[in-house]
Amino acid sequence: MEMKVVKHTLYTVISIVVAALILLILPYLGISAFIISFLLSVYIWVTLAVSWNILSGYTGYFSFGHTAFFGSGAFASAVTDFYFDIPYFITIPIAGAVTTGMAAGLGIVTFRLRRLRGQLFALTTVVLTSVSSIVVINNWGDGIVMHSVKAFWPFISIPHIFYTLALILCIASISISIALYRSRLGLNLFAIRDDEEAAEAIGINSFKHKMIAFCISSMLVGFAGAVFGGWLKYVWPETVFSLNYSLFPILMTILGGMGTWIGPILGGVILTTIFQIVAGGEAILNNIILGSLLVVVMIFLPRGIFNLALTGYRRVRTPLRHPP
Amino acid sequence: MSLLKLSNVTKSFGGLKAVNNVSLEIQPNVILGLIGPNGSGKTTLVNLITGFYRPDSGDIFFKGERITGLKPYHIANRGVVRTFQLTRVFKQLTVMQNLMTALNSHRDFDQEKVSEILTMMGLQGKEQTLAQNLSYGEQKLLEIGRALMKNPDMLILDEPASGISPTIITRLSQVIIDLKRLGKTILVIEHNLRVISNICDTVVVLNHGEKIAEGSFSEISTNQKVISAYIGE
Repeated sequence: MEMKVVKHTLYTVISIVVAALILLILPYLGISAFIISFLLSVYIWVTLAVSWNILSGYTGYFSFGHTAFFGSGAFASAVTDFYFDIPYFITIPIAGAVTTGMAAGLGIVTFRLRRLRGQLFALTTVVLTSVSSIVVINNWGDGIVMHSVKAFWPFISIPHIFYTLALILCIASISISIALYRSRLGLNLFAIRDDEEAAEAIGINSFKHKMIAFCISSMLVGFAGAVFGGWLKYVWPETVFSLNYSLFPILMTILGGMGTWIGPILGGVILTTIFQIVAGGEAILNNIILGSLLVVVMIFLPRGIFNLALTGYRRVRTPLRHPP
Repeated sequence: MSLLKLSNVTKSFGGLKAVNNVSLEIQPNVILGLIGPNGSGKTTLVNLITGFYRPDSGDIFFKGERITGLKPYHIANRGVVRTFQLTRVFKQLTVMQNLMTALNSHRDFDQEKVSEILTMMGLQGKEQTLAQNLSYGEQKLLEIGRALMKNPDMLILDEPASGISPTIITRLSQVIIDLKRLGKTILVIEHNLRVISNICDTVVVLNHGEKIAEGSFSEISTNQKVISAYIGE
């Protein structure tokens, strides 16, 4: 049993490292700037979906606050870069710290109150999105133009830097998600998702666990916001506080398989590709696709592609003991 | 010294006194039955003991330490673990994962203990079955097994025999008696008086939130107040 777990973990680590290395050298193999830009966008969306799943998929607390953390992360990075002249690479952890602080502040209040479980928690995250975007619009409504990122190696271009940053962030998010999924902490989060009171009745501190999940999730989104802002260079409230950053990760995770570590990756890759191919990145068409897909997925695929495939695989593998 | 002591505990919801000035002592290594008509305050009392409700007045002591107002997980980690009236297993987790949630860390995993609990509950061979795919009776047993993984000093079972088949009730009664032999103290809320008479050393009767009788089953079954509470004046 123990050996099996060690082998499984080893295979996962090797797979991640190999995939990361291949993706890391991809831009140097002469692929087009369009593909690099597309992959970068896949990494950002997968990071958002994976981080949403860490809170909402693992603990069952539905959040609509990704927009707040994404936008705040982008602006935290832009403000510290523009006003304080802090090097861009240092603004990324600052952005993560700011969004972690926001999550901790909200979590301390909402996770302590039993009546704020479920739908009311979701509503508080909507309020957080509104409040944070209003604060930013009131202060930096015209947006902020960030200083140019200096390439620290002459042979790495600016797009390559952002590609690499987004890839590292994506791989880190996936690794954290898998580690949580297989850890004691993850098991406790699943227990909270299934029945929070029963989890507390056997000694699980649900407040602490939810805080950890919320802070990790928000920190990753903050990093993603900073990377995205640096890539755009011009950080504008309407761009980074778009509701899409809350809604798309939800759809991606549900489509792929909520509560599994692989689901948001599958959903993120599939949906970003669909958006790119069908809509060519057009925002209005994206929203139409989003709305239609949300309805279709909720009705026909509530457990997601991964869970559907897993059920199918188990059926095929299990011999038919009782012929129809 | 008593293992659990309730001293003048009161809890009201609006104008309704769900538990009114209840004092109770439970000695170690006994099976205590808590009975009473519907709405008599039995589950509220359990919620007060396990930290799900905070008493308006009065105190609760466990092993001589005051546990009044502590969070449920603190109380569970001190050795008081409960099950619920309507079974509350972690449905999307397997039987084994359900048991594992009760451990403080993976290092506490003891295969021998797990096997023992699975055998005791009749769940051996179902370790990898999702809890939602178990029968209701098996879910009840799993919930008790999960509580036992915590190795509690005191186990509180809220209507363990409700909604399950006579065969599983027999198994359950035997499990509870075996637990006493293992040195556990058990508080059982139950409407099934046959189960109570078979397994309990002492029975406490609540009515309208007040304790109206305490004694052996034969004593309380002839108590006029108890008869009135169940049948009416």
